[in-house]
Amino acid sequence: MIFNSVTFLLFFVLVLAAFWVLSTRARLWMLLGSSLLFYGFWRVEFVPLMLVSAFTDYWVSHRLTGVDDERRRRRLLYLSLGVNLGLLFYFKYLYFFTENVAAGLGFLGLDWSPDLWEITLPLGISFYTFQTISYTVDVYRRHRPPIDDWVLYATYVTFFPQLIAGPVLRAHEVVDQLAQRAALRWDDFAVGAQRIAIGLFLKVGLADNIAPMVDAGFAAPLDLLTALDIWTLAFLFGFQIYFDFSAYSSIAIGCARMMGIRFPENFNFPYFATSARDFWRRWHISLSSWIRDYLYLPLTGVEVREPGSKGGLEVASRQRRDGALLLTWAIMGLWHGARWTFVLWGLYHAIWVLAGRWFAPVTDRLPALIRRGLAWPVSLAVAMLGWLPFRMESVPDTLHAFQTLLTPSAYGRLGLRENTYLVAALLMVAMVLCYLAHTWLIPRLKARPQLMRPLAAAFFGVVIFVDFVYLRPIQQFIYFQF
Amino acid sequence: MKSSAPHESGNKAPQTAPTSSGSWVGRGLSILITLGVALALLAFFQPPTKQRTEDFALGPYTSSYRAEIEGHPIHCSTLPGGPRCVDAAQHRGHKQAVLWLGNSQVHGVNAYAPGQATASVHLFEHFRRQGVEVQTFSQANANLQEHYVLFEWLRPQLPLAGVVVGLCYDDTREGNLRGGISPALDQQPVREGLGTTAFGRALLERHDERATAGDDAAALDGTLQARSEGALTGWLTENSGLWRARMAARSRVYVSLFQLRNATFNITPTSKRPKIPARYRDNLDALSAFLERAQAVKIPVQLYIAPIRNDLPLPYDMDDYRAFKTDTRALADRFGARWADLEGIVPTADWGEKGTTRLGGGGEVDFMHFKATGHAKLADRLKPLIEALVAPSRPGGAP
Repeated sequence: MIFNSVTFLLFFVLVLAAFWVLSTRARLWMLLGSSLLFYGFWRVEFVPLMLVSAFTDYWVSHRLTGVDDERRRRRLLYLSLGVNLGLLFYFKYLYFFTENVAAGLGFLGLDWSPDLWEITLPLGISFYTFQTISYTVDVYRRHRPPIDDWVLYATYVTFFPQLIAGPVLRAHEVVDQLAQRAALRWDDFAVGAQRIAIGLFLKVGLADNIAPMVDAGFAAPLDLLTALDIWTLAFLFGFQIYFDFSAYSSIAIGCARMMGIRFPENFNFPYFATSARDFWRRWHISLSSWIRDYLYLPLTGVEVREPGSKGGLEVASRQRRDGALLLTWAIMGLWHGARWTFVLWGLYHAIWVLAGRWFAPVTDRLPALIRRGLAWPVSLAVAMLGWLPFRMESVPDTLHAFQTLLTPSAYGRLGLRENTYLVAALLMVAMVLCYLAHTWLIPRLKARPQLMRPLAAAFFGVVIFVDFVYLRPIQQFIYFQF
Repeated sequence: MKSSAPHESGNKAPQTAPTSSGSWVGRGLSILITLGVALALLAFFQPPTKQRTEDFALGPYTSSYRAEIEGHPIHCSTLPGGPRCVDAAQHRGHKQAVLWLGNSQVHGVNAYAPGQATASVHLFEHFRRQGVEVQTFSQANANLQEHYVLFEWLRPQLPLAGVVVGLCYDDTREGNLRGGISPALDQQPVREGLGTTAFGRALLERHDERATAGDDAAALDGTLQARSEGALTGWLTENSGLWRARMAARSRVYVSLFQLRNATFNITPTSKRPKIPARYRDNLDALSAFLERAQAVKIPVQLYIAPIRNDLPLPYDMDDYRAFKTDTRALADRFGARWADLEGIVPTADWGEKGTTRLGGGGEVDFMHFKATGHAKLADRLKPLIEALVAPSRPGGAP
């Protein structure tokens, strides 16, 4: 089921009503049933697959508690990883793998052209796989006990607001909230509804209306795009994916909040980051912290003492750290899609992080004013250009685009429809204004509730108007494909 | 030692949006203000008159008119309505048909009054006496790729003896196939036809890529979600005036944004419209493929440079505009098509104004749409061109 549809709104109203009238136990059953229904509205045949993944980790986590032998424990962990990553590999990477093996063999003069059957990528598989893996690893690391209640566990894995595109939730963030009976609070209800309205606004009002311009721009022959066109398209796609993805997170957070359940934030004005590390503290926060705890730190050889902790980290040599960083980012890229362009995107971000480290001795010596003045625009430009490999069709296309950007004579003219530049510029201005409103205006207005309330109500009137007028399931959320 | 992990943020504490806490009266008032603003905006963005949604962009002084003769259409737009035109042609049973493809100039009538006729009516009436069916297909902001696809879609369905295509420079600034035309690319005869030219194959490839990866609506086809959404929105459309008001509001919002842009940047109908290189190339490639295909299947084509109001400086870079004429003529020569320049055939008196494209009232020069008298003049100039087009295929006609 997709959020930007009448079907979902009706479904959610019914689930919400049932949630608040049922007992705690009945709520869990209802949430599990409605989550499976939510998933089955897309393809019912993939519901058992999700349950197999969930049940494997449930079983493994319980076996882990009864075993002290580290080798057996590790074998159980590998079993869980094997099932989860095996399914992910089959559905998401088998084509990619065989294509590349065939190409490699062809390079060696061997002809191998496997005739693969059609494989449909199950919606949200990357998200629920990561979620179940994190749970099993947490139990393996003895960071948490296994969940005894199968219904509670299955509800945690399949909980519909975050099922398809996150946030990637750890068990400690949500299981206790699901198990307890939350009190019905007006603020949860109101804030949740506001988050849903804002999310729909970002999706149907902004992202879906930018999409045709982005599609048309990236469909244009590359030799006809100028450097300014490529900059514009990078920014525009950056806005589109941000609105689209943060919309999903916002709606997910809002739905959960209306049920008295608090999800962690997934975005925090990422385009106001001042470095690569800062960017990843603000963008897809749940995934970046997952990758840190379950991939990067193990690769560096560091032990994570408790989930989500910042301390207790022992770092290996610089070479191992940098190597782990590059590998982590390549995998992070590949997680987004089975294409070399995504790997390139991941490595681009790894290099951005490494460049921050390499140049730190130089930048740290700059006067604070200059350092701060440069940090945001430079980070914004680097982050936006990073979307080129993410959106381009192939690695050669991406390299061609970067080559154009480095060609001074390519800055002489414009090749896109005028509105494309205008919309990109307006969105940039609007984003700065929103940031200022968020950090400066709203905190001041909150001190004057007699002014704040009617202004907020009028603002949400505009938001709801846009939601109502533009609500159409014409575009799925971009992150569904991941 | 401090870690240099790439993502050290951990999970942030949940942020809270502004809350609406306060008394129940305050909360009730907030809800009322929210709903009041939303409804006021919905009412504000409704059309002031019973103007059709598709006419918003034409402004209040120009109407779209696609004629029916004796209850059967002679002028259609895209695939959804197209079969009615095909059925009508088959019903009339003429042995020859001429297809006329164009943009909103063909169906837009400035200062339209009931009883007036468009050029498509004049041509239909004139040629029906000779046993030739003139069928017209036009869309607002049509581009040459769409003409090419419509030709392939209609070719197996009509006994085509010729095709007439109006060429407007503005059309080369448009791109992509609209939703009313792109489904043709899923039909086998169209795919086979397009598959015979390089550009046709590129169109198919783009379409298929969208259908499999990017076209999100296609990913939902046949799912429970698609069926329930269809049923629910269908029910709402039938039973809720509020729901039906959405479409008009959507169009009005776009028009208002367009007007706001024009007012802000002082854009007027006389402002120069630069060439968009990628789109220009795509459209000229489409025209080339279309002419190549028409030549291969022995259907003669008449291209004409569409009339434009020329008592004022044209809103184009004149070098680009001249290149457009030269390029299209060269393509016509290359593929044995006919080419005519009808740019100046409609005198100033037959052109009108259009509603302002900026905020506020008043009118502005309309370079694209003329009055019914202009339609008559265009039809008069097209008649001999069409005569010449169909003559070779008549018994005893010149080879």
